[in-house]
Amino acid sequence: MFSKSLFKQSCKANGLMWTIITVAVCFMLCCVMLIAGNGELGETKVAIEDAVVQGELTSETESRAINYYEITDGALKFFDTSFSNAMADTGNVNSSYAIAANELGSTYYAQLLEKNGYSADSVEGQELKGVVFYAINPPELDASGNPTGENQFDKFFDYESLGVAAPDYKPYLQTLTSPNHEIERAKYAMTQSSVFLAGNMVKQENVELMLAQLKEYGITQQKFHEFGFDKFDFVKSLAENTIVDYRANLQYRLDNNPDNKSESEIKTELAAELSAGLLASLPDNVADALKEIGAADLYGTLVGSIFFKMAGLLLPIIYMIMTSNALVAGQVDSGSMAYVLSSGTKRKAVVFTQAVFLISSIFAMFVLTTITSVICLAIVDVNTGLTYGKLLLINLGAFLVMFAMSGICFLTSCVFNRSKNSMALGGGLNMFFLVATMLGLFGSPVLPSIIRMKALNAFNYVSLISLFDVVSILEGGLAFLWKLAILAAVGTVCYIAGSLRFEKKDLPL
Amino acid sequence: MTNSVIEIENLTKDYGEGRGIFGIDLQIRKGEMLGFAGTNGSGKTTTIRHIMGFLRPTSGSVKVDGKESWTHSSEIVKRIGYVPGEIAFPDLSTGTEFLKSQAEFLNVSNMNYAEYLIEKLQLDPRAPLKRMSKGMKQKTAIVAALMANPDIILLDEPTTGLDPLMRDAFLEIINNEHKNGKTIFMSSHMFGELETTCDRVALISNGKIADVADMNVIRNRTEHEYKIEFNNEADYLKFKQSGYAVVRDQPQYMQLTVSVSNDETSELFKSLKGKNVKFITEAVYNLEKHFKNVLHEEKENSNNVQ
Repeated sequence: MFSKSLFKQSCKANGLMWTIITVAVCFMLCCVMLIAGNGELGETKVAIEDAVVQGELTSETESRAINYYEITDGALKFFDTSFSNAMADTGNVNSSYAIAANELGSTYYAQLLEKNGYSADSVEGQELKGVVFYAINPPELDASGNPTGENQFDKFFDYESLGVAAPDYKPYLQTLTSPNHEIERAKYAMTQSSVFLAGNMVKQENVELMLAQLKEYGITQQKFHEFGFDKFDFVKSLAENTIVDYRANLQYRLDNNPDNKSESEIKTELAAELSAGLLASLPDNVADALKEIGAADLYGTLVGSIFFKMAGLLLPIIYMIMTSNALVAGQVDSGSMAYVLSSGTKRKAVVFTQAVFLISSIFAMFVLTTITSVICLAIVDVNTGLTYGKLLLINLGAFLVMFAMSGICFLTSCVFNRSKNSMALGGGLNMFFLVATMLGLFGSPVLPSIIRMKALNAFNYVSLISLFDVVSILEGGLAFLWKLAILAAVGTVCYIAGSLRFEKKDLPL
Repeated sequence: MTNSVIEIENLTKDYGEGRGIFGIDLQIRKGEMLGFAGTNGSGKTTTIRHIMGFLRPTSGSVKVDGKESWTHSSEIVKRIGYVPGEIAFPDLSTGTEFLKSQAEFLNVSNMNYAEYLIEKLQLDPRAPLKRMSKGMKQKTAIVAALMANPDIILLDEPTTGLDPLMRDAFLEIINNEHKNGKTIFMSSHMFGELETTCDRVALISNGKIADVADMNVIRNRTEHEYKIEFNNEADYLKFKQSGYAVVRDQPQYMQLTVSVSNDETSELFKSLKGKNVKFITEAVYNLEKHFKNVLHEEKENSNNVQ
């Protein structure tokens, strides 16, 4: 079945070409992976990504500022009522203050917890507690329930370095009955909720937490610092400005309310508008496009869809076309096959050996590209979703594409007695597939929609290479599996059909 | 019939438009050397390819050692040394490499015979295959075919491209093989070389066997033809009436071609004594002449039929 002598002869005849092509492919792969990995791949992408991240951070902060303000304002309102009632009963400011703070906890805070579905011990519950009580700054109690003389939030932040004072609501209680009290209270709520938000955001552990989350978007500590979200004054003024906007707008909308919307409706609407991120404020398709660019894994696309599916396939395809032709049709055409067949080697053995040589030489080529690409990925430091596992799958996929295409070439090589016919059909078909893939790339979703030419996507449906689904591999899907199975099946069928034909045909030797 | 090594029975391969071979019947006996003559495109190579089992017959059969060629190709070719008409070697660098590779295919471990052939043919196999002249390629192909010492040797126009000296060396090798009892089937369009070496020669014309000539019969003909020209008319006329069988008469040159049986040869010279003879030559009856006659007759027959 297998002729060792013939295999040796094929190695000698095609070895040099194999070596040259393999070295060239691996060299190209190195260049692509190393240069793209260490160079500034996609500066636009980085800039857009930064802008998007900054916008999202800002909108998140704004949304929190409004939320904090609403809660603080509500808490102060509630406190005012409770305090007036307690004053009427006791006449003592300090004890009334404690009673009101207590009621605030048991009623207002408890209601909020229930409304949002938080448990008191959860992170969210603790945060909410902070927002509710920060502006009141209730007196601290010792274990037996007696006041210690200090207030709960007196040491919550390092007020000295932040340049603000600890919250103190007591002075405002003097003017409880004056008509200005409501305005003063709102201002106080605004200031204190902004301080609480900013103070929390610039805390060392919170900055680190945020950086860890933003790392996957390529945000370094330096960039984060440039954005300003680790600076107290920046965050505080951002929050204050948002709240001022919010209040002014809220007042205006409540006064001019043609649709008779409820107050809470208007508040939700306004909060959403003011805190809208960068992307939400752009027209939908532009926003989508920017989001797409920001989210695109350029390195993965470059290595997977551009190299292994196109550029990197060109040379192996050339090798495959020439070799598959030289292994069978070329030898029949020139007549040199006569020496092999007249030595008593069966046709079945000839065709089997040549198929084994072709497949194993292509396999060896892709083993080497696999090794090269793994080494390159280990060297480069690049923000990409490309893992070693995915890289192996991509190499395997590229091999299976070559297997299927070499099957077609091998089939035509077995069918035709003339090299030129075998080359024209087998080689032409495979070059067509490659060119179709190149054209199809410009219309495929791999490219950002801004530069995509949708009409060209049709080419993806006529190319065998499309069954090599790099996108599915990169995204971690499973769709690529059945497509690769089809490629393997196409290759196997072609090799078998070619072998059967060669065994039965007339040979002009 | 039982000692026929190659039996071709009613072999037809129709390529359409009158091309191909039609109803070929040919037996090649063990130890025989059969020549296969014919013009270019007459079907020599097609017949040989059928013997090797490379082509499937449209009808009829070719058997080598009683085995059908097409179905048992890989078995029968082991007994055959084949020199193809078109010499094209595998994509290897030098002749030595090719011969080594071929020895591996043929399971030949002892290269002594190959070296003997190389020496005899004055071949330098170290030359790169691509740079070899036609003759060198031919020699290399002959060495490759003969080095396994096969029982049957199949040669498709083996001497084309060889210079006359090399052709003699080659024919000597073939003759030696023949003497060693090998069965040889050699095609050629040069009658001369077939004439001197072969036991029988088959003529193929337009895909059909026109004639199979036994060389012993041709070589040992009992009659010879002589062409005689006279210097004066009196002698010419006198000789014409002396009773020899005249094959051809050309009075304008005063030439006569007469057929004389071998035992009458001295008689002929006696009757020429005293006559003024300008020249006398023997018109040799060779293969070429024989086949010309055969084809001529065939043509006339077909004309008569029409």
